[in-house]
Amino acid sequence: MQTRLNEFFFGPDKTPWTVIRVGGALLILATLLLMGISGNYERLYGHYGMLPRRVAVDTVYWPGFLFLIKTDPAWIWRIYWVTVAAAFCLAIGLWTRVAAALTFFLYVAMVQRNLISFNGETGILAFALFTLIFAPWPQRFSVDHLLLKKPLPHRPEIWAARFLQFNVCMMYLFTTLAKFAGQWDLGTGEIWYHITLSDWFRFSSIEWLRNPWVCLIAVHGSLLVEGSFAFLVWTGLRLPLVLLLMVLHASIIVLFDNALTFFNIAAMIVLCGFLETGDLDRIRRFFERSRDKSR
Amino acid sequence: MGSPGPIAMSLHATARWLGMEENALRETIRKTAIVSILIGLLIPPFLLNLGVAIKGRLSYLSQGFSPFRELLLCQQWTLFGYVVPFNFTIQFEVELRDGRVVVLRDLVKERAGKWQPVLFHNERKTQLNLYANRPALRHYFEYLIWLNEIDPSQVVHRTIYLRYRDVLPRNKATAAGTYFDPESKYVLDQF
Repeated sequence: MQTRLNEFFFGPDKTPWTVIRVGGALLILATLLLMGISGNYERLYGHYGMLPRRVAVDTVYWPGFLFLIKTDPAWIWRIYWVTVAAAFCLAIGLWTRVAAALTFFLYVAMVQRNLISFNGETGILAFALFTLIFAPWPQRFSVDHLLLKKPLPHRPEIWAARFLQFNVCMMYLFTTLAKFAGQWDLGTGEIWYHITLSDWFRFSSIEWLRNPWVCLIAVHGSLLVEGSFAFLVWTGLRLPLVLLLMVLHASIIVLFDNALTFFNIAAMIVLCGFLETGDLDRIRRFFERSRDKSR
Repeated sequence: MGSPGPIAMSLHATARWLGMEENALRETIRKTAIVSILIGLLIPPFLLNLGVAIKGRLSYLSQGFSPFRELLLCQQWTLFGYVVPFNFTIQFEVELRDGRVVVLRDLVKERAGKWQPVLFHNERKTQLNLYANRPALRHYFEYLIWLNEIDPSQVVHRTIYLRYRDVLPRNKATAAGTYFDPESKYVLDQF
């Protein structure tokens, strides 16, 4: 038991951290870019934005105070550029741990400055960035290793990946529990009928997507995959289950409004926390075998 | 070289007392600390979500954990199970002293033109958060007054409307020949 526990938390880490690091950093850079050029950054976090500074000083949680320290309206733009620089360093893997810590704090501070900007991807990125502070360092594809010649860790331990994995499991488990307890009535799948007619759905005009059988499969299929993930991902079904959920998230990106795009990308990034570096080879071998059989 | 410190001395003594190598003891302490911290970080979001998901006796679990919430490390994942039951837009209207009624526009969003769905990709979620947060909705109202260059002292009434369309259940939709109820306008707030 003790040996298995030791192996579970301190076994060799084969997590593709580079994908998680680069994916998370690029998502934050994309968010900042879109907010910066649209004026949404000033609208959400500006001293004269939708939550003005004089009101915010009495309402925000402490990380958000970073935005309120100075009365100069240009102050938020200095934070903006520091966040961009930190996220960029994280993306290329330069001073990775410091960059991850700085990006995490600045991102949290930004969201806490106005919680109206809080949404699904915010929560996912927060724990992903937090994990990156403690993830094995330096990573193979990083400036730290390739240019600054920092040696790769001799035997990286998996405990940081476990933190990420437990968070992802909780996310799917509690989402499913909430769906069971809430509007997602079992047996009919009518919630999917409603969803296809919401403003968030891209293909409301396609009738067959509302067919009772499609409703039944869409609702129960997603509940089954999400609900069982937290338990089955620790078994031999890990790889197919992770890939299935990635496909599910990719489908949501296609089917739903842009508002769900970043959230689903964030979910796919943290799902990579369950992958191992040899998984790509496994997938390749699987397709080669399937091709050979079909000949 | 200086003499070993009191911690190193006690570690040495403890290892000898336990019949372990000093390095093995050091390693056990390190691993125990890591696992304890990991579990400590995971307990708040677990209890919070458990308290929310399983109502009744366990609902008190969803209280507290402020330091974790402040750092966004205590997420309420149960929120992902919520689906808005109707389609809506929020409309902000002011009545001025001279009797004119003006519908306020978000000029920052309008400036984006056809790029609005990309540049303001999260706007639906922002609107949903605003709908659920009355004080934030009022602050946004004041921001729109400022953005539309209206003198706040000239405003006598502020009204927030919710324009919404209910989705009809399948059987009613078949009978009515449409999926939606006619659009309704509801006063969400007036001040």
